[in-house]
Amino acid sequence: MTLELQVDAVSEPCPGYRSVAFTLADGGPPPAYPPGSHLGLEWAPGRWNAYSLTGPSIAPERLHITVALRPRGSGGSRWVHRLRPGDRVRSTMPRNGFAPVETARRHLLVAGGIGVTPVLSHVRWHSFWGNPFSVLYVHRPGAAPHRDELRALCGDRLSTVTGRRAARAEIHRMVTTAPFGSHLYSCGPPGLTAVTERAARDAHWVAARIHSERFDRRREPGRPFRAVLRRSGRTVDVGAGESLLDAVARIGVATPSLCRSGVCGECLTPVGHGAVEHRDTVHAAREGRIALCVSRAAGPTLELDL
Amino acid sequence: MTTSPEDLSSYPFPLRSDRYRISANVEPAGVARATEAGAWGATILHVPGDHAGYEDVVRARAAILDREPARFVAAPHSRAACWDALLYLTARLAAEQPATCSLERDGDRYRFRNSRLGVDQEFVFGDGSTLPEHPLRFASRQLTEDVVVLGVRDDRLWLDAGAVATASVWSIGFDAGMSFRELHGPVPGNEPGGVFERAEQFLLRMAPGEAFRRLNWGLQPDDRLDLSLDAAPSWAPAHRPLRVADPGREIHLRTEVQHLVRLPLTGSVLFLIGIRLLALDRIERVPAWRDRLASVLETLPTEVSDYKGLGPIAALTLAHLRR
Repeated sequence: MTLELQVDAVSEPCPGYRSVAFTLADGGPPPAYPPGSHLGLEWAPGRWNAYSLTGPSIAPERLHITVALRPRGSGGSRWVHRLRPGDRVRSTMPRNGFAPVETARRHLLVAGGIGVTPVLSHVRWHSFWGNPFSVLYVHRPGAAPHRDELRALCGDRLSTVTGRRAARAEIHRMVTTAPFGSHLYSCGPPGLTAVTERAARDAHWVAARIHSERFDRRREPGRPFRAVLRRSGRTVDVGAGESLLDAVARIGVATPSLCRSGVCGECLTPVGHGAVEHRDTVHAAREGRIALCVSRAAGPTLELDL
Repeated sequence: MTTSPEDLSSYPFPLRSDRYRISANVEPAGVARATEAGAWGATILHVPGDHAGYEDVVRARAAILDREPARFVAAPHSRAACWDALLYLTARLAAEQPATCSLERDGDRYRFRNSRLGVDQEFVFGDGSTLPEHPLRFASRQLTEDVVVLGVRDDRLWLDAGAVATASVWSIGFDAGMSFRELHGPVPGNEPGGVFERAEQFLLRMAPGEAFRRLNWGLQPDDRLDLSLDAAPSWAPAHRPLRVADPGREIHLRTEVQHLVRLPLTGSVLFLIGIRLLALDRIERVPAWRDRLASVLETLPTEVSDYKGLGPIAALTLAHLRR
């Protein structure tokens, strides 16, 4: 399911970073979401990038993201930096692989650079509920988006450092002085999250209390492709945000389906030719079949026994 | 207890073929499903129309919750999830019953009204002092369904909270704190890689705000909604040995309409269980239902029959339907 967003406002929290506030194009209220959620935005036909939501997550009035400019990236960040009020954008629903664990005795949050974005929404949540937390913000000199906002929310629960050595020392202090039952969350460059996780493991933290940002690809849109239906002699072009199941139904080819989530196995269909990007949990690949509801072609065309 | 025509026309008859096997059988919620007698399922929350039992069931549930505090549990760490559930359920009632329910919002302040129960309550989201009782208990009083909140931790689900007055041979107090796997310990098919492991993975991968449903069913020799283990001393003696004088009127099909909702704010899973009872006499008014029930009972595997506790009552039901 996708959302049609409209850019409401853009701003530059610091050089090289762009914040964008979206409303729903239909004027309805944006969906609430768990802290640490992200939106997938379609920045070119069939090309989607995930951006963490930074604003209040309880009954939000707008959806906020902040994006660092990557001049040599594949183009998503340059596109975000060109957005202007009134522009329309296609988005996924908010999704989450980085939510706070409510049983935590204390939440320790480590943000590196633009990794501050999901941490900011965690901080808003913990402030609202009065949960114990502390934040370490590692950034380059002069490039610390949302630092003032964090300071206002955290007070002395926020420490900021620049430089690798200072970051390591501060992380070590955090993981060796936190009370038992604390949970640790890190988001930022892979180097920083790796250092954070290793420091926690060295301090004998159990893996279940160490978290870093990750994305669930199962429902992400993909590239468009063409499905050739061998038995019915039809072909159908499957759009980027459309499931194969919906595309087949659109041209009137009947298939059984139930969960639409790749778990019930009802829509499994034998594959003729073509590579498949399997996203189901019923091991369709082992049987040479595809779950029409979630999986997609890995190439331009896919032939199905349908 | 319900004998208006609505009991048949809106009944979620659970048997869709002549054989029954335990399966995940989940499907998207809120979609009307046609039956031989009508349709059900256009709404997530079942609110029967005037004089069709809504107030009766709500009152019966409230009486049990008030009499027995153990029918309600809420772990301290489920606080946000329970507020999430309250907001979801009241908003859902307002959307599905616009003539009688409303939810207005002004910042963190909300006002919920349910004219059929005379409820007019203002509250501040997250502030327990603005409600007369725990948010989940408050929400559950508006419903014909029992309510359970499953929290997500370590890629698993845990029973964190619930207001359950009409459990089908289980006890919320006993199950509180259990993992999803532990909750389903007694059910056939609960082995590693089995249907419940897959069901849990499915729930963990639902997107926030998504809702699915499934049906479960059993047979009972009376029309009691509350078959909880808590109340077993009052109902179990009449069930074993089975004493049935008039099967058509006494034996009831017990259908559980289960809804599974991924709550938008916390990602917790809200589990709603609505009990719908229908006497064999009423089932026989719909010949297709009578035939399917009889056929299912004839072909039911022993382990399923044992788990559901159907042995003697299945035989009695079958004899009555095939008489």
